[in-house]
Amino acid sequence: MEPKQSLSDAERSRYEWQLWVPGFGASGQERLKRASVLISRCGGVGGIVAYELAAAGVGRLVLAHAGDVRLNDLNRQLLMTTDWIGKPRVECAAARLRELNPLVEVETVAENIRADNAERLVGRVDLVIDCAPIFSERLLLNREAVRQNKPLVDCAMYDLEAQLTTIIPGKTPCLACLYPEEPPSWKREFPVFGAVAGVIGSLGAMEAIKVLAELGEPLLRRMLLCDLRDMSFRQTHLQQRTDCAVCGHLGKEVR
Amino acid sequence: MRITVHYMAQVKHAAGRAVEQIELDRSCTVQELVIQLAEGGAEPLRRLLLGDRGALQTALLLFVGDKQVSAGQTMPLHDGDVVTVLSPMAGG
Repeated sequence: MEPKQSLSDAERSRYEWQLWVPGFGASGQERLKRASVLISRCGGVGGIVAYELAAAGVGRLVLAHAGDVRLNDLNRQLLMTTDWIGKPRVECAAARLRELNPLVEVETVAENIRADNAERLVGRVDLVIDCAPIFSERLLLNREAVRQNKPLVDCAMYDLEAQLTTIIPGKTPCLACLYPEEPPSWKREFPVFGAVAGVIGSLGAMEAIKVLAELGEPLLRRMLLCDLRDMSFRQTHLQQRTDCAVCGHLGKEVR
Repeated sequence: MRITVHYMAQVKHAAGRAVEQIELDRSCTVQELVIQLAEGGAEPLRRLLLGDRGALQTALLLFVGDKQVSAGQTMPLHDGDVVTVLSPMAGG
């Protein structure tokens, strides 16, 4: 049985507009308050994810991102500010989140996802959100989320395009079903607008809220494809690989 | 047989267009179509679509209509099908 954790007057006031959402209400808000989320990199996409989840009242956010703020981060990394150039990204992001919502616990890890920290970081949360630009990190996070049976929201973008899917180990294809190995042609730096990162970050945050609060229908076994050049949004149906090295041994639901 | 091909992400840049119509004189699978497009395309497109040994890159996502066709599936194309070729994207 879930422990009862009632909302304070300050919380009821802060979250009043979303408490009115049918199917969410106080029980949904309490689920968010009890929840913890790991955000792999809090840059263009992950910064918006973090901001939305902090605003929504997710109880604990773990931000994992190495490095210092650079000038060319600032077209899209909206938690970063010009006066923080040369200082740690993750601390800048945490300061902004605490200004927005001091009720949310923000943990900072000035590291990207690596083989020697993935197990520990994924183990500290209920859900993970993949916003990293490098496939080795993305595939590591996926592997660990599947191993620990944690839901993973996968956000990606390029140019004016973006894609989103939600992975539930054993019930949906995992990231390695889609990308069995690191794509050789992918480069860490690529053309994109901050507004594209904002769109897919907001949508990814909504997916996380839905999974945590058991609201609506997450994008399971489906991938949302967006092309903001012509504002086309479409859903596609994904295939689980029976020979997937990461999740092929799990569940039969989608085969 | 007429097939519409949509390119997304890096392959759109490499193909130099978002969409094209392909006339096929015989039926083929979506994988065979993409290999044909690669072999007839310029080097950047070929490099994104094919690996060193001429097989399709494993990280390409291929869709016929709204359904993904995975690497092991052989799905013959039909007149009027819409194929989407999507190269990887990531966060940042």
